[in-house]
Amino acid sequence: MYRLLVLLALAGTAHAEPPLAIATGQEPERTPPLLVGAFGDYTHLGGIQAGGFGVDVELRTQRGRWQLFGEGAVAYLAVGATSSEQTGVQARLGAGARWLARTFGDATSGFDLYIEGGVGATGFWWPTGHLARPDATLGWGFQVRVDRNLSMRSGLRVLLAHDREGLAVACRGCTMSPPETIDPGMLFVMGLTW
Amino acid sequence: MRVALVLVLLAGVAHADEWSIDDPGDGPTLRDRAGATMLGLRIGIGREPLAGDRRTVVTDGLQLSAALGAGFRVAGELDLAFLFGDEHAAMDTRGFGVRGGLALRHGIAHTRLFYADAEAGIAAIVGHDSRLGALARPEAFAGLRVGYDMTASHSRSRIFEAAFDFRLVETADGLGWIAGVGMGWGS
Repeated sequence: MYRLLVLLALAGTAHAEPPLAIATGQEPERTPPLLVGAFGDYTHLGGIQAGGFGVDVELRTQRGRWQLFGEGAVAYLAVGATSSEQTGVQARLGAGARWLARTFGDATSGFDLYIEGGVGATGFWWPTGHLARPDATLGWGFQVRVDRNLSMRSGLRVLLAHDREGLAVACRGCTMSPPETIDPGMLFVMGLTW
Repeated sequence: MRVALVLVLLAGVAHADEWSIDDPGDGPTLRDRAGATMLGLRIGIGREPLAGDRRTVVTDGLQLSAALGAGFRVAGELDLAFLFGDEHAAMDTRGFGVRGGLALRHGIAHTRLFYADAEAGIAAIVGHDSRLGALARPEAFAGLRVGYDMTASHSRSRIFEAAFDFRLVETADGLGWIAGVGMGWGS
């Protein structure tokens, strides 16, 4: 009976224990492949500030410390940012790569620093016009992994897009500037994976 | 009894490989040990003069630092810098650039968990501004950095720190300031 109990204890412990690779730092810091969270951006349309907040969904795959992801977001759009002269909707699809650069913790739980970059395209719809344009992003952030089933990630990226004149934006009183050939904006994503 | 002994032994083995935060000692932490390197991120926001104007400056950057010994650390900084003009201006003035900098830090206080560093350095923003065109703005800065650090056993990065900083920024156009919050991972 004693021998049986010891064997049961050993068997239970064997399954509960992470494989040796984790202790030696070889196992990747996996998080669940689906992220749902908040999206925010700041950009310019025809030299006028534009942006808004919405919902972001990301699906990713992982190899080692590298992740490849696809993402989609739908958000409110305010053109003329602070005056919100016109409002509408924006939707963005993107794909990119993420490198888990540092980890305080191990493969099961911890606090990670990541660096990411990608490309995408955003469609903007406002009362007097619409526009679709490609963009590129580069940024970094951190994620908190509670365990293998739950994590929180937050990051900020620079959003590079080509802005141009001649957009049908009616915005009285908006501050504006000549459109930049490559307009630098911001893209923010914070979400949960589980 | 034998089972109990085996289970206790197994429990000890089981915890030996899991990462855990170390009890902070009274002396310098691993972060201050010569050769220790830290990679981290920092977000800053401040107000700085630029060509007769004042801008709200937002930076989002990475920092790589190394301990030199005797309480000194050197840090290289690479930031994405956004320079927003005031909204009341008729023209939307805005700039964007890459900021590179070098900072020298020295520990001035340390408790079991918290620390304070004095820091000074030089940097430059190179980019484009909607009002000025090409932008190349050097600066010198000095400030205070307050944070906490911790070390962990069986962790991939053995050191973690979080810090708040405040800097005075001297430019050719006058004096400004920037406050930041950052985190670092080290080994």
